[in-house]
Formats: sequence, structure tokens, C-alpha cells
Amino acid sequence: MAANYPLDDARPADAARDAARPGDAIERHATPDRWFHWITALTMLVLLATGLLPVVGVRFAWVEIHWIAGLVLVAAVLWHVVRALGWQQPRAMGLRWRDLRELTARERPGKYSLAQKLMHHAFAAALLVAVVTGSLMLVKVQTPFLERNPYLFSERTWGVIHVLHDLSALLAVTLVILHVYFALLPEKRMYLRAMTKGWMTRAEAREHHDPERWPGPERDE
Amino acid sequence: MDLFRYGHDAWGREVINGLSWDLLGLAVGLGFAVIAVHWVWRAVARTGRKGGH
Amino acid sequence: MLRDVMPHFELYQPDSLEGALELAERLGPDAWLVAGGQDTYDWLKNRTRRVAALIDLTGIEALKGVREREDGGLEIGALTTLTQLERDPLVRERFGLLAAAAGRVAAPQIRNVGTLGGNLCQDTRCWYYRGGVDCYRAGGNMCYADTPQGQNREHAIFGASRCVAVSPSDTAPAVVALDAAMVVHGPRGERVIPAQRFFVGPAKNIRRMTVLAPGEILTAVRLPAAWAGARFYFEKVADRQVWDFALLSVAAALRMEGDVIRDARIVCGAVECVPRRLQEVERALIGQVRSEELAASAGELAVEGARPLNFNHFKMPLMANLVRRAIREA
Repeated sequence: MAANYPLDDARPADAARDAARPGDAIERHATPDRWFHWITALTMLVLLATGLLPVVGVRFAWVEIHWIAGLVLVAAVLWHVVRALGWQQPRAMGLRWRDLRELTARERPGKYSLAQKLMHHAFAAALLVAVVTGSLMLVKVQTPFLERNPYLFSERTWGVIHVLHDLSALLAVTLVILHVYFALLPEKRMYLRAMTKGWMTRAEAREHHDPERWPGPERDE
Repeated sequence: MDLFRYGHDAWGREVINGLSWDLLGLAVGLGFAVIAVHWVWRAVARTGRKGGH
Repeated sequence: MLRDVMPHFELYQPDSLEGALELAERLGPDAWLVAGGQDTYDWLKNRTRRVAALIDLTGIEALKGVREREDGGLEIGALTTLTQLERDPLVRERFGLLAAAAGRVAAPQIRNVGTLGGNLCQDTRCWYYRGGVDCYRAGGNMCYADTPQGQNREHAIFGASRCVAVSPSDTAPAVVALDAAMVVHGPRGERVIPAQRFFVGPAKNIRRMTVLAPGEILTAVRLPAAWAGARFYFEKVADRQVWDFALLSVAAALRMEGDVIRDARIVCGAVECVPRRLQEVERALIGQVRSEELAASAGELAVEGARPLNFNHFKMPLMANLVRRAIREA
């Protein structure tokens, strides 16, 4: 029964706020995961803006904003890793040969399409490189909690760290452009709604996903 | 267009400083190029579907 | 390395501001604008900077001299030499602070050719940077002065952001204290910038000391009448009495009514990448009766929040004492 879906356990206030939600709505993204997505999106935009606007000539005091936003991103990524391993099904995001059949439209995807998986993994790669290299670079700037130590690595090693950090930033620029474009396509609007409100309709799920591979829609019928 | 930014350390040795910022335009251009290709593919696919019916 | 010999470059000597601006725009980053040249020639002779062309501004007569403004203030052409500034009767009478600061720059020979504009726009003296290493300011990823072994006796105790270099200008604290306006001409016309915003720290732009964009020229400094004839104090402490850059300087302007301080400007040089205006100190002074105790407490307040480096802790008591003396003796 639709009434058994997790979102229907939501507080009455949530239901009142989201009056447009149909009775057979299916939860696609739980509230904590949606928070993760939008916090990550916001911090990434702040990080890209503070990191790259000075490069193109927009001058402002960017360093502090950048490292503080970077710390928020590190926390968000850690939270996502814990959440994915403890509460979600990481296998749903795993790439399989079978996913290639989506390209010929012979098969509908599971919870995530091949394109969504590739976008996720590309973002994951960019973010992981950015947070690891960025965390190391924190020791080169003045922060209240770290003893500044520019000699932690040799200059050659710092150079490689900067290259990787820059690379992750440029990759993120391309990915953000693509992600925003795909999110705004009219035929993908249910995914944007799912990321803002959490749900998609049963009809949308059936149309775009294989009920066998994303068992949510059919499980309780 | 350069791929990297180079400098010299205190001993005069050449060190790499980071990626060349010339590549920023490339990153933005790549994003929009993929969008353009997708836009064309989407239009062609839609036309094909309409023709098929 | 071949040093102390001028390298080859094309020399342009425009006789009008329009000509200079047109040249700067046409030659772009290949050209270097030069006034008195006392900072520029070091860079070129040491081969730490190379340019294809030099645009010598000193032939532009319109940018020289001191002019009275209708409001009782003065407009000083950026190419006015420091010696002229130091001796100009109008400047001495109304804005003795700037005359005093100009008179403490380097040595007489340098003041004879060095200009107000050049002194205000000069690059930092951080010796790692001047030595040609690729530090943050030079486009690299490291500040060599802010390392455990870095020699940073002359460097910043405030406002460091990756780079710890300080502004070496003696006249900069004075123009900030006098609420001067900087007149800048560039390809997009004229803009007038308050002196306090003219200088820029590393947090905002680690590659430059001023807000001047490529192709822009500082053409004049306007001193408003508001501080004309006020009580001034300028002191510069350096390792040598002449031909040296400040370890610390203070420029103060006070408006007094009897013993009561009605308004104040206190600005310190060589403690930050920009002239450091001590607004909290100024607020603490206004409306107070000038006294030894007030001056001492203002000195203590002045150094609050300082972050000295390994070798410049001495700047804290020095700054406190200079501020105290400025308030006591202005």
C-alpha cells in the first residue's frame, strides 16, 4: 500500500507544506540525503566562486571564505560516506555492464540511470580529490586550530597537490554546468522535484525505472 | 595554451605551481559543448520518435 | 647574474597624459609605467623583472606641482618630486604631515627624483620577493618570509593573508591620515578613490599593492581642507636615519579644542601590507582630554590583535610607543 511508504510517515506539517504530493508518492531521496545534496551544492558553488573569481580578475578577500566552506564540504562528504554505508544501498550506485543496455533503450534503469551514476562518480572523484588536497593545503594558511606549517611537504610535492586541487576544481566546473543543465531539462523535472521534495510519483517511477531493479514502487503492492 | 604553471623554488629549481588557468576556459567550454551535443541529439531523437508514430 | 646594468628595452617618453594612456593601452603587459624610477630600476637592473618597453611619465608637466583647490584643499600632481613636496610652502603650511613624511623618504638624492606617485605606488621590499623567488606575491605557492626560519624582521604584524609583506611607503600613512583622494586615469576615464581604499592587502589581491589596474595611472592626490592646519605628528623608525625603509612609522592628525581631542586620524606604516588606520584608537581619543594616561592606553589599544612573526615581536612595543608619542606630541 502506498500508505506504507516511508514518506508517509512524515510529520503532518511536511504534508501540509507539500500539498501537491499525490497519495502514491514514492520516496526517492530521504530528507538527510537531500540536505547533503543542497549543502554540498551550495558549498561547491561558494568554493568555485571564491577559488576561481579572483583568477578571472574579480578581487575580494576570498581565502577565509574558501577554507571555511571547504571544511563544511569535508564534513558533508564524511556525512555522506557514513550515511551511504550505514543507511543507504551503495550497490544501487554501482556501475554494471548491464547499465550499458540503457543506451539502446532496451532496458530501463534501476534506481539510478547510467548517466546519473556517471555524474555521481565524477562528482565523487572531483570532491574526494578536492577535499583531500584542500585539507592538506589548510596547513599553509592561518587558521585558529592548526599550527601553520608550509614545510609539511617539499615545494615539488606542494606543486603536485596544487595541480590535483586545480584539476578537481576544473572538473567540478564542467560537472556543475552539466548537472544544472540536465536537472533543468523538462523531461527530467521529476528528478529535480525528488531532490527538492523527496518524492516522485508511481507513474514516473514506472515510466523511467525498472520495477525489478528499483523495488520501491512495487514492493508494497 | 599552457597545461601547467611553473615557478622556481628558493634554490632556483623549477617547480610546478599548479594547472594553467588557461584551462578554465576549456573546462567551461567543454561543459557547454556537451550541452550543445546533447541538445542536438535530443532534438534529433524527438524528431525520430515523432516520425515513427 | 649581470647586475647593476640597465637591460635593453624600448623607451617611450610621452608629454601628455593622453599619450601615456594610449601607449599603456597599446603596449599592454609588455610595458612598465615609470615615474622617478627609484623602485623600477632596481627590478630591472637586478633582472628580477623584464620589460620590453618603459613608459617614462616624467615628461608630463601637467602631472607636476601643487595647486590650490576651491575648498581650501590642495591637489598635488603625482609627478611632484618628494623634495618639492617637502619644501612647498602651501603643503608645509596646511598639511605639514605630508611634508614631514616626504622629507623622511630615503635620502636627498632619491627625493630629488622620486615622486609622490611613485612613492605611493612602489612595490614591497620583502627581500624574498625582491630576490626573485616565486613566492605567493610572485605567483607561487609559498611565503618564504612566513616560515619557521624565515627572516621577517621587517614584515607584517597585522593583516597577513598568506603573504606577510608590508607597504614600504612613507607618504602612504600620511595621505591616509589626511583623508586624501587619489585621482586615477585609465582607459575608461577618471576615477577618484579614497586613499584608504587605494592600497590593497594580500587577502584581496596578493599580486598588487594598490587598486591600480594595468594601464591606469595615479595622476594626482587631493587633500581636502578638513585637515588643513590641524596638529600633526610624523615619525619613522628605521635601522638608519637616512636611505632606509621604515621598520615602523606613524602619521597622526589631531583636531583640538583646548586640551580636548575633537577628531583624530592615526595611521601606522610598515605593520601591514596597507597603511594601518587605527580607527578604534581614534574612537577612543575623540572627546577625551589629552593626557599621558590617554596616550599610553591608546598605544596599548593600537597593538591589540597583532600577530607578530618570529623576528618582529619588537614591532609591538615600538608601535605602542610611537602611537603614544604621536598623541602626546601632535
